[in-house]
Amino acid sequence: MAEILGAFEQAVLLTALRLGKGAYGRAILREMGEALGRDVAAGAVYATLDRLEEKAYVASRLGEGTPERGGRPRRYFRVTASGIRALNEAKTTLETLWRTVSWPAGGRA
Amino acid sequence: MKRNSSATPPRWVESLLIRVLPPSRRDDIAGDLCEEFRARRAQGAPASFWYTRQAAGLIGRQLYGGGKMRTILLAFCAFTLLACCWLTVMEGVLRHPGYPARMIMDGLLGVGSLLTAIIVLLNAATGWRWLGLAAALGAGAVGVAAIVHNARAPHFEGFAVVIGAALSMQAALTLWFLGFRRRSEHA
Repeated sequence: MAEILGAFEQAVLLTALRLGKGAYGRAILREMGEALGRDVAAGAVYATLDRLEEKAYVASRLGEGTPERGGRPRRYFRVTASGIRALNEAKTTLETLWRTVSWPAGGRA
Repeated sequence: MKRNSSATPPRWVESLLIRVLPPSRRDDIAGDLCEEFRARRAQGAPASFWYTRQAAGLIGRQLYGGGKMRTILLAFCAFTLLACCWLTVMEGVLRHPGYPARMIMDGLLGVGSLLTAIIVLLNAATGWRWLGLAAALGAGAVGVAAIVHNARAPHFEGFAVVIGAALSMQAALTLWFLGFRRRSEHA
């Protein structure tokens, strides 16, 4: 089995998957911030996207520049088949591990 | 507070960010931050602080993200720069015979360390890299000379050995980093 995805990697992949064709840096950053209820560090998101691209879990392409971006292009990310497989494996592994302990972990909270 | 969509992010922060980011990611990352900055500004949310914080985080990651050797080289540059500043000040205060020449040499070594750090940080173009290599050769020669001279001198000066060793290590790392390592995509 391949290396299990970290929690932040899963969050980035799930966000990109949810955004579909509109998954570019700023949109992922915004969506993650809203989902997690906090301001997400852009550096962490871009570093994770770079790492995921190196692992071929996402692929990217440059779009057109727009005036609100000072003419700079957007980089759109697409979750690849390997990325989806890695997400499914991570979920299955975590669910298997969670089934081995009672909820909440460590007894009553 | 201005609330228009053509507001621009803090210029010097944006300029620094663009210089530090790898060339292949400059446009899209700077564009994303600019777009979010304008959206926040249009909503009346604090945008400049957000932009500066995000840019600082990205710059920090780039500085650390260039590999351990790069970080070690930058640490040596910082140490030798501080050491040269200290030596220059001390020469000026103590004024031992021949101090002006030593002050100039300490100052030049400090400038060389600063220059090397900037060249490495900004992943500078070939012309600047040659200058960095020349500075490294000079620093290495002075470092080795300081150690040899100290070993032969009647009085042992520990600080001279430490600074000499740091200059020699910095020179070796700079030669490897600027001379033998392919110019990296990642600054």
